[in-house]
Amino acid sequence: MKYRISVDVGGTFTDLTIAESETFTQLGSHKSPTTPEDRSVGILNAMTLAAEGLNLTLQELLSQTAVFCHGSTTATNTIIEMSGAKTGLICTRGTKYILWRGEGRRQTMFNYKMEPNKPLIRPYLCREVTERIDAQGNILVPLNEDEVRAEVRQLREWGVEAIAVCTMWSIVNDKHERRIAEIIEEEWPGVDYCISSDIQPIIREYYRTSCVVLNAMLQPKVSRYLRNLQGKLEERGFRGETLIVVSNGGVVPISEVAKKPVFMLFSGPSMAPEAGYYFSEIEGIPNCITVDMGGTSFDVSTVLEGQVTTTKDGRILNYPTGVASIEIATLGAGGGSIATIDKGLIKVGPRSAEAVPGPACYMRGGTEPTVTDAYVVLGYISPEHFLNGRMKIDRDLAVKAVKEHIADPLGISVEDAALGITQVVNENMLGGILDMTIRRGVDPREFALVTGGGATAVPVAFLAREMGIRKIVIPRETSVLCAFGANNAAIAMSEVVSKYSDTGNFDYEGVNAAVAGITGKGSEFLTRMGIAPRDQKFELFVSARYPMQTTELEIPITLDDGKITPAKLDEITEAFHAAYLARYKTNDPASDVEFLMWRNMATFQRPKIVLAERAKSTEATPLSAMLSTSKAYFGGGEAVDMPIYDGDRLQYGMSVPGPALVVLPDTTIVVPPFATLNMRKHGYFVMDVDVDTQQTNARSRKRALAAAG
Amino acid sequence: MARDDILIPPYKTELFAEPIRPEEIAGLPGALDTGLDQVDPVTFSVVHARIEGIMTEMTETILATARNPILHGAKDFTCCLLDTYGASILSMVDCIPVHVGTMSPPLRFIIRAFGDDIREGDVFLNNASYAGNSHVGDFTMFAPIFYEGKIVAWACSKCHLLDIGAHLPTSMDPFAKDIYEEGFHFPGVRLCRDHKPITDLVRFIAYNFRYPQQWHGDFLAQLSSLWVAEARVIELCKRFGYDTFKGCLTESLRYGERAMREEIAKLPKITVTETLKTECFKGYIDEPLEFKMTLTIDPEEGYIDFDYSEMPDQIDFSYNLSYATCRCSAIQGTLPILSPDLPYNSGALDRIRVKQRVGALAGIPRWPVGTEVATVGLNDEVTNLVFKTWAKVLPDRALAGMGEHPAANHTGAGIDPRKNDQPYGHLHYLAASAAGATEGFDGLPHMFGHCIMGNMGYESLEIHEQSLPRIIWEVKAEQDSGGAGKWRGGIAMSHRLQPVDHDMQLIYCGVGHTWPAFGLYGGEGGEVADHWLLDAGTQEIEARLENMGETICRRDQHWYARTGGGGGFGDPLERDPAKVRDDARDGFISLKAAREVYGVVLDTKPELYAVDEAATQALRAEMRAAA
Repeated sequence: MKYRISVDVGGTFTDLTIAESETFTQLGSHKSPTTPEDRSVGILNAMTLAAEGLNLTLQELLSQTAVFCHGSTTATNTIIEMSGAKTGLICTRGTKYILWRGEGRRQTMFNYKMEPNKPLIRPYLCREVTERIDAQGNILVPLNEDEVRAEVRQLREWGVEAIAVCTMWSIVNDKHERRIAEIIEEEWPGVDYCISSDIQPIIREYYRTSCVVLNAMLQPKVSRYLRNLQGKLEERGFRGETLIVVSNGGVVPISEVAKKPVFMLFSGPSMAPEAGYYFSEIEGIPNCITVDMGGTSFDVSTVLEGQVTTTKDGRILNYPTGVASIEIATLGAGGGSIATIDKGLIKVGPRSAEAVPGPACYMRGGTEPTVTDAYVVLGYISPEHFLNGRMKIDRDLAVKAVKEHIADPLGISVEDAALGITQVVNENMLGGILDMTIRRGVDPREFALVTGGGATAVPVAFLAREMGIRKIVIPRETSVLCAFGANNAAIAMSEVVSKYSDTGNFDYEGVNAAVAGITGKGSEFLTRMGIAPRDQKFELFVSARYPMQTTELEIPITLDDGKITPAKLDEITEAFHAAYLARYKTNDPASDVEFLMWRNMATFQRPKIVLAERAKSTEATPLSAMLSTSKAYFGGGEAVDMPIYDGDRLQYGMSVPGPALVVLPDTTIVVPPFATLNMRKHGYFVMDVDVDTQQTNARSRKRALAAAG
Repeated sequence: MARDDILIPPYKTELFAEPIRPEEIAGLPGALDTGLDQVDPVTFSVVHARIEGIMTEMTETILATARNPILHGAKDFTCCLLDTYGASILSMVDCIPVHVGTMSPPLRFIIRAFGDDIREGDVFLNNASYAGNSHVGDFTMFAPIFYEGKIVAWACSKCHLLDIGAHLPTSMDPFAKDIYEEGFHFPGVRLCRDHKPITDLVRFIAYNFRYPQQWHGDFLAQLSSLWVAEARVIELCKRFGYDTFKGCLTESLRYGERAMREEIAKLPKITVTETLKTECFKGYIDEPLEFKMTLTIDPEEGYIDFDYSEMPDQIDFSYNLSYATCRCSAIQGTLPILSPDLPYNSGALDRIRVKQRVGALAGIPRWPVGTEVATVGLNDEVTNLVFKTWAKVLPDRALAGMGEHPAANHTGAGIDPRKNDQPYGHLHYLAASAAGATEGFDGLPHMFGHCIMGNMGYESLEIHEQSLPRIIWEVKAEQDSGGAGKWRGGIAMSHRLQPVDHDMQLIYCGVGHTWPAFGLYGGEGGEVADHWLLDAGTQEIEARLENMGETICRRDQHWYARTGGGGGFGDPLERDPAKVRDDARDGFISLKAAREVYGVVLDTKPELYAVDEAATQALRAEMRAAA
């Protein structure tokens, strides 16, 4: 068993990386178009490319593959397209409108010409049964089992494909939910169903209902998809282990997620931060920001002191998932974002040219200027070398779009208008980076910025300079970064338990029992994975707040011999006050602290991929890699000469001064005048940015802005 | 020096109504700097986006840190940035409509009262309606932001508090006939110096307000939001330079004015007058009065003028509008009519002028009459009239009447038997009223009235039951509550809850009981708001509650409160039968209404129902003939 393969199925491309499984040496990466009707086809195509790369047949490759890691947007797309199972909900009498009610706060207060928010499922599919449990777990009203039977039969008659169950306070007493589950099995054996206390026992009925309904919607389709994929691989000789990427950035076997597909919602992008960290760690930097610019969105994630940043509540289409996820700030700013003028201001996005018609320069009928068009106008994307010449683009169309829609109305040059578009979109992207750093009291200046996605290395130097970041890492695998990350990901499962207590009267016994429950589950999980106790790693967190607040701050905690002792409690309380002050600039140390939810993250870090070392070049200048010279515009009224280099011919030890353009098969790197690009011995690039000449000071343009509208 | 002529009330209205003149702030370093004359469009776009980001961060900070459910759950607060003249900057994102126009007046009063005695690290409070604030319950706190010794701007957070130390446990006491019954007023008081709370003052407030720990937490939350804004503005000044940043503030006001003038220029030159009957309150307004207003649009000069001088006289209870909320009602009803994405800054808002009469119910109240509930009931009624008046000018933008709350400002207070009988107070945001319909769209649900326009949050039932001794038996969409129409009025919600092992005091005052939310162009009115006490066992009605009062909900009773639905728009017989079917299936309308009001015949056997097209056409023809 020689190989370790990972595949990340994205919206457009299926990315694959492959490594040697004994020595963990990286062997290569491949891209193949995603096949939305049956994604396993695209996966097999990518695997065939990988096999060809090694002069093997697909059968030969698969029969020698020990581990197959899989990240997939299947779950994400199922929800985004609303193509999941038709789902019915069984809930407590008096709560059928919970999904329709949502959270309020529509945030567009002066707009009334709009449709109301759509509930995840229509109210008529939410079926109430008589029963009630209170906050302490007492049964106020017993379950009416006849009603449950009648509702299951009704849902069956309506052709529902999955049933979700969520009752009030099942997080403190799950007796009614369990009984409803038994009745479902009796009345309708074989139907897909799930209950909220199993899937994710979190407080707040709206979040928990949303989570369990999402899960039910995904369950039939995702488990079918995984079964089908596994079957196809086995038919072709695969005998290894399949691991699925989950939202928290770990990987788990299929058996662990088949019943909990809601945990797969961020399966693809959740690999980005860990993959970014892989490179920043080699560079000796414990903090990194991974940025990924796609066609319509810009994703930002961070690693702090080696820890990937996570959130308790990942969201999809603004529906809460209730599942702890890798925290990703997603901004509506990508290569396809359209630039417009609104009352004299350049605005970029949120409208996007999508894949069709695409940017104006794609020659597919788009006429509005996009960010990609601006890059083409500025010379940052070279028509001759775009995607290795596989895709034709027309610079004149880009110029026309920018001129007509932006430059002429503002009375400025086409180049200045294009630069303006990039500056506005950069500012939007900076917003995402700020969200993940400064706004949490984290200073980004000591971070490495790592790129994912083929186009991200175009704006990245400008972003770095604005943030005061000196070092950018551009992996050779940048266009398949998530697949690369999946090959490295730790086996990880997180378990939560809701158990309220406070410092005023701390329930040591109750909390310790609850915490023991989740740590026990974590260690059972890792043991099931065949991981020796000494390699099992556990991280505990608690969600805490001051009395009467309803938002919690999650802080890491440790136990004393498996328990919280009075001394430990003091330590946890101090840590909370300190974390609170850092985040909110005030705190209330005289106050009690309340603890709501405890989370355990059980992990096993698999050995990491090793990148081959390259020999140092005897040439210091990159002349041998130079392809041609073109023009580029970086402001100041004059375009400058800019050499273009072939990234594949650059060697370890070479240094490329800006301005320069470096092209790779799937990646373009812009090296502006204030930066220098170097190749490292492991084959990735590092761009050093001169941040001392930070930011072009606002130049007063000749025309008054007031006349622009 | 602080001005010593601003000491003894009543204060002149112009102290908060008139814009600050340059000579009044000349003593504050930097206050007169307007920054770079010409900021390039790119820099301006960038700074503008960043200021919006700061406002969002202020808002998120309060949501995460406040202790009071009307803040962290319902979001009854607004944050913004103002310039050194007290003009609000384009930056009120995610705000409460009734707060939009009530930011500048209380700051102008503070600027005038403190003169040049304003320093970095100060925080000021103004919750006094006779000093320019909206109402006594809104703790409006301001922090001046300095950069290298020069004042750049003011950060503001306006938060509605649960209690302000009145004789009744509420910040929404409808019975308060004058300010002395309303609670504690702070007409421009310094709360912090050098970024530290002035502890004797904090002690004084904590002693006088109920639930002092909760108040203190909210106070810290407000400070957090102000100081987060301060830190971010300083970062921006560092990054772009003081002159550029100031230039952007100046430009944003010009931008607001320009946008508003463009909108007004599209309007006809016209004068219209409209009326609406008032809500009745037993013992205060026994027979309905008539609200009357005149709207004049001058597209050339770029002004929208409202004349409120024919409004009824003020009444000795706290229902009267304050100066600020009265002016704001015109803004609340006008911005959405013109364009929902107009910048909410003084440059735009100052194009809307309101003639207010001294001593009027909706005008300028005469000292010291009560205005404690000025942000809800009457504000909504007057805003409804503003919309109705605009309907005469722009029928396609017209919005039918807003559904209201049976007890828009209702406090439930008691003791928590689970927590050693600790006293608690609470304003409820479990169920919201709905908006009227408009051409092309059904009325939106989850609105909470004009004063909120849907920008508050619902409480989680589980969080509510965890923190308070209650059981919420039901929150539901009220069937047939939306006024019928081609475009249906919004569906209202209700809640039904029971106090656990204690009897709960209810203090309430609401509107929308006397008259349904009006329909337009053949649309029917929405269902009125109402509330009852039910027997917990039998669910029989034991008492129908008035729209204003104080009562006890016993432990063996349910308090069932139904909010009002929105008014309909257009003839119900023209409603798309598929929409009628969807509504019927989801329980938003009854099968009876589907047939008798909308003339739609449904086959209710199949899951998705089915419209019987032929029968529907025949029935509708018959109904049209009968009408």
